[in-house]
Amino acid sequence: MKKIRKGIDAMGMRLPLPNVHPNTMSGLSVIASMLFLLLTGVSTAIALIFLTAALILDWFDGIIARKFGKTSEEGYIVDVASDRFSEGLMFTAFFYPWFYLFTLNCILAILSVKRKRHFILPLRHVFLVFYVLLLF
Amino acid sequence: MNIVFHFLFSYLFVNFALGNAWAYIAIIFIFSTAIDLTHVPYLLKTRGNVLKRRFGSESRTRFHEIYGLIILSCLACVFYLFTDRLMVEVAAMCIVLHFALDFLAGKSMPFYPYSKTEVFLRIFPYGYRNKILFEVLSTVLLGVLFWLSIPNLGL
Repeated sequence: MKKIRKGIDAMGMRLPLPNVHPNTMSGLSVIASMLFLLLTGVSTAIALIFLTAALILDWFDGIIARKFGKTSEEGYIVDVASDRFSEGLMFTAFFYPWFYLFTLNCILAILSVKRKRHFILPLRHVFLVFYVLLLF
Repeated sequence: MNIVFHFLFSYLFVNFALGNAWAYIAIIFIFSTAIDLTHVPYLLKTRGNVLKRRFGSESRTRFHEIYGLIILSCLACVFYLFTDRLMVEVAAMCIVLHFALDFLAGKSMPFYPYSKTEVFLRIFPYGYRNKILFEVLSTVLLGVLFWLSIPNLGL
């Protein structure tokens, strides 16, 4: 799993990404989640685009931080927090069981920050699969 | 963001996402603004002119950060089992929107008291004058949209 992740990250490092602040990318990921929530009742297909965009932007913030040497504790805090807000926004429209899992993930996020060990569930990635299945 | 902005944004958001927000206006008002009550201890402590306060991360208690979001989410999860589910969804939406907007708009300490790292996303303007201008203009715009969306009154 780690090897796959490293391979994907190495691929991302080769992309021509803009030299923007990584925190801005995290913020845009939260905004994409807002748009997902706003549009999920209107069009599942358009909402899926914003869901995917939120995940890609979240991936890009880490890649940009590493590529341009902008990794910091602030970046980690922003990344973890923006992921939680993004999940919270997405899951209010799909309350059971997703919002329950989001609450659990918030607790895990606090534990991760406190113990400096990352053990957070990749809920949005699982949700993406769930949402794609909803299309069929 | 100011209280009026939070209420108007949440109302319009719920109206577009779920429809018929007018039926839940009291719920939207309570849950989109009540979180700002956590500024009260700061105001009492500083005893200064409210308009001159900058309401940065120092003005918030732990209940205005992810710690508070967990408590409110747990309550929403419990109430979802026993009360009107749509009402709980609306309340949860307003709560998460409030936290997300404050996180996007200004400086915050998301994991306070476990981490005192202050973060800023660099999306919305932050200079005092720019921030005030942005808040006034966006609140007026949302106010107009709110007026237009009121059933049997707006367009």
